[in-house]
Order: sequence, then C-alpha cells, then structure tokens
Amino acid sequence: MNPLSCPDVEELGPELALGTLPGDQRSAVLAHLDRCPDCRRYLNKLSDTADSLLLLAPEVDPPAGFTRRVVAGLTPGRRRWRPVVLAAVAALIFGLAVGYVPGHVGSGSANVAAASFVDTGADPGETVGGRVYARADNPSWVFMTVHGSGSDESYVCDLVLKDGRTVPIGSFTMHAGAGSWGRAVNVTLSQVRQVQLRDAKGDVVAKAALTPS
Amino acid sequence: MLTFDIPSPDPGPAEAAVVADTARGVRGAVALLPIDQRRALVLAAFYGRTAKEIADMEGIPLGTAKTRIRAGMIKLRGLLDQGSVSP
Repeated sequence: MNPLSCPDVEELGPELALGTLPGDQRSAVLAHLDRCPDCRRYLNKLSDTADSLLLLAPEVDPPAGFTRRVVAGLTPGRRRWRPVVLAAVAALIFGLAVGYVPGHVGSGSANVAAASFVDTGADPGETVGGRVYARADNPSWVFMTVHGSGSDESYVCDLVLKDGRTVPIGSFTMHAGAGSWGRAVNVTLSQVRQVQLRDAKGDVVAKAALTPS
Repeated sequence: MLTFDIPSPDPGPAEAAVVADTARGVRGAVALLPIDQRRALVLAAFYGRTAKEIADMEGIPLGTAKTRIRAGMIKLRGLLDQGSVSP
C-alpha cells in the first residue's frame, strides 16, 4: 500500500480509533502517524472519543465478570491516565461479579481469563507492561490496561490462537505512556493462546499468555 | 487463581459521582447523533464491525458507511467538547 497523505489519515482515522480498520490500511495509517505529529494529535482526539463510547458499553451489551474492586486494581502505580474514568470504564465493561476473593479474580468466573503483559525486548527503547482480561461471552470481550516508557505509542493487538493463527483485533494509542482499551471479539476465547501487542514497525513488543481463572 | 498487584479500594462517593456524570454526558451526546451515525458507531465500537460489514448489514455503499462512522465520531467529539465532558 502506498504511503498515506494527511487527508487519507483524516479519512481513515475514525475507523482506526474504533479498532475496525482492516490490517493493511491500519499498518499504513500507523506508519504515517509515526512521522506526522499533527495526525497523531488528530488520532489522539479520536481515540479519546472512542474511549468515551466504552462508558456506554453495558447499555449495549452488558457483560458480567469482574468486581469493581478487582478492576480498580488494574493499574498499580500507573494511574496517570484519567484514573477515575479508567476504573469506571473497566467496571462498567466487566460489571459486578459475585463470589470473588479480594485480590483475586472471581472463583466463580470460569470463563474469565487474565494475564500480565511481558515485554519481549523487541524495542530496547520501550518497555511495555500491563494486564489483559478476556471474558468468553456472546460476544466475547477483551480488555487491557497498558503502560510503557513511551508517550504516545500506538499498538496493534493480536490474538494468537492455539492452531497458530494470529488474529488482529484492533489498535489503540497510548496517552502519556499509559492507556486502556477493549473490544468485543468474534473469536472463541478457549482457542486463544496468547494476546500480543505490535508496534508501528510490526514488532511484537509485549505478550500475555491467557490463563482461565 | 490469579493475583493482583495491589488491593485497590472501591471508588469513593466523589469518584462515583464524577463517573456517573461523565457517563451521563457521553450518553447525552450520543443521543444527539443522527440515528444512522449512532447505529454505525455502535456497530463499530461495541460489535467490532468494519465499515464493509456495516455497509453489508445496512445495505448501503461502503463509502456511505465510512462517512457515517467518520461524521459520527467527529460530531461526537464536538459534542463532548461543548459539554466539557472528559472522555
């Protein structure tokens, strides 16, 4: 795909922010963002708007799963990015669970998986960490909080399936080195072996092996 | 059994009020969008539908689906800014 212009990115930006832009176009937009600060600012605004929509997620498709207490602990020591809204988004997305042990994911949530991101060392200048949660439902949901040493990095999130296939599910942009993102996915979560994040160059910078609770 | 790094407390009443207010603002802004744009945004944001899939589902040209998504996002951004709602 040819390099994109700013008007091209203006056109495609909303779909990138929503995480629905097809892979080839997504890569082209991310490559443009890597060299265009104006478009990065534009996309940050769109990402904020897309994030705001998550506040309404339960009204559209209320999933159940985690407790407010558990979700509030998603960003230990990294509460730089709109902590109140972050906790609210997470709590609203995953709802209130029953039967949890404080400090642990609910023992009654057999269809919930969680894992920490492990930095792969692919980018020596960036350390990426965070937590990812997945709930098998109809549709299933994946939600994550991510922190890194960069400021406004954009990442593509993939699900790596047990049969070896890699399924991109969307992308998001960090704000001041931290952020959260989530979406419904059309994938059977029991078939997911790993969640991974790729940077604008396509390198896998962090991965998390999902483990059912 | 999975452990978390810190036992974070529930949000307090003040935080809960801010959250409720923010969600109310977003909900109000979304309600002001034209129905076709609102539907396109919901299909994309919550159901992960691409513009092509939305076009197929709605029986509209791909360009129209893209326009609805883009117009909806830009209008929503403007409404949130006007209402001083922090997403």
